[in-house]
Amino acid sequence: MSWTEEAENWILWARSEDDSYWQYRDAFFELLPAPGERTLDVGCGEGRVARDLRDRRHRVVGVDAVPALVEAAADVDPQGEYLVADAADLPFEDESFDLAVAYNSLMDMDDMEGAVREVHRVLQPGSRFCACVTHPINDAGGFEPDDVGGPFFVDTYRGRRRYDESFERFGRVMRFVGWCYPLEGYTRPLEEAGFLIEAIREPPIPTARVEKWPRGERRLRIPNFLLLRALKTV
Amino acid sequence: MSLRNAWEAQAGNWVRWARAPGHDTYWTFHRKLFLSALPPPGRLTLDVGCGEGRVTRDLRELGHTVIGIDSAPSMIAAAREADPHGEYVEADAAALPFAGDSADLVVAFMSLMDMDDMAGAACEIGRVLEPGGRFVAAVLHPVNSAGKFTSTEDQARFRIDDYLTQRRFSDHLERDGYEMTFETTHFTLEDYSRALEDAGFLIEQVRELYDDDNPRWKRVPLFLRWTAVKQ
Repeated sequence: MSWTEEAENWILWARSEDDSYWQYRDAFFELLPAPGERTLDVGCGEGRVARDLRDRRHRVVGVDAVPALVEAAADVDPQGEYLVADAADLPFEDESFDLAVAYNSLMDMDDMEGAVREVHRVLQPGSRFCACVTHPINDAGGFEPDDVGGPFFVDTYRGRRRYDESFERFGRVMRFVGWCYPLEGYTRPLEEAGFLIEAIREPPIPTARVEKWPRGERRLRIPNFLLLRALKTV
Repeated sequence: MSLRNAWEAQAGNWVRWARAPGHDTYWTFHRKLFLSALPPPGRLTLDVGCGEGRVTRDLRELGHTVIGIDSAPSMIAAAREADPHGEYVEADAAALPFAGDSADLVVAFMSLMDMDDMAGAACEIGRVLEPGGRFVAAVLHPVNSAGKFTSTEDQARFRIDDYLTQRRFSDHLERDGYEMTFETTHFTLEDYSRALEDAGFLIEQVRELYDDDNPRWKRVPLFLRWTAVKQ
């Protein structure tokens, strides 16, 4: 259970201003419908998405399978509602939310298909599930050479593959463990759970960021993330 | 040159290429996968961007009442010649000569990325489909149109310089005595998604198609197919 081991690293990483979240969150929130009665944040981690949703007038419940992350989320947001739960076994009644979000969490779950089924179950008919995942192209290869202007090379795009990469930041090494999926790896579970896909987005990095950080140029060419909005039909 | 005129100029090459038995992926696997993804025949099926008509002819064999539409006059002439009893109309996909709600199925087999106004075509397809009608399309996979294999070797890597920029390009192929210049457009997944959204569609199914007999294209997807439902 690597995310348990990495919880302390992740809290530092997620709350630092270097993380890509701050560049892509606007594109994600743009895809969301207006706040309704109750929003579920699946795989909330240390809670930054749930806090941002709260600031945008959502009434949010955050769930994560990692107790240390849920504890960290509750610590900085004592009025917020955070629960330890497996996304594939959500402790909620059927049809008890009118929006669900999963920001960069689906690819890190042990049972993503099960999580998507559970999200569908707890959503009211007519409501949306919005997800951000690593873009399938980005998961299929890398930039070579790894500098400004470098092309991207794909070896294998197809199939589910293990992701296990370590990065150094703030003098600490953070290990990210999860799965790489092609596009169909996400759309098929949505279809099978009963969702229809309304919108797909491949946001480029904001150009203002590239002006300050030239390496970001690559993210005007090769997308880092894929956003999906799905509808549970009536 | 417009894409319509480019395809009109390639019509002779395309008729020979498309009709050579076993020559392209239509015959080796794509035909079977595409036709088996379609809903059963209903009231009226439109085949938008029918080219020389092989998909239209197959649809009729399957029991569809079908009209083939293409903007290139030589394609329509070739389709009529091969199928004198079939119905083929020369028209721009972005200005379909049909009433609203007149069809319950529209197919676009490997044609959307070759149109001058893909989003306009999607809107027109949305207009002529009745609510609940299906739009099934196969296109070049956006990964495919974004890059190229670095060689013809089995283990060749696939190089992408720029995925996010929509652009026109052409690809000249010569194989087994046939030649063809494909004039086409690189669209991103988001380009297609936005066109469908704006036309009133929801996506029911997405499939990524590979060629299992090809060591390169079994790792990188050749085609993308979707079924969308009109709201």
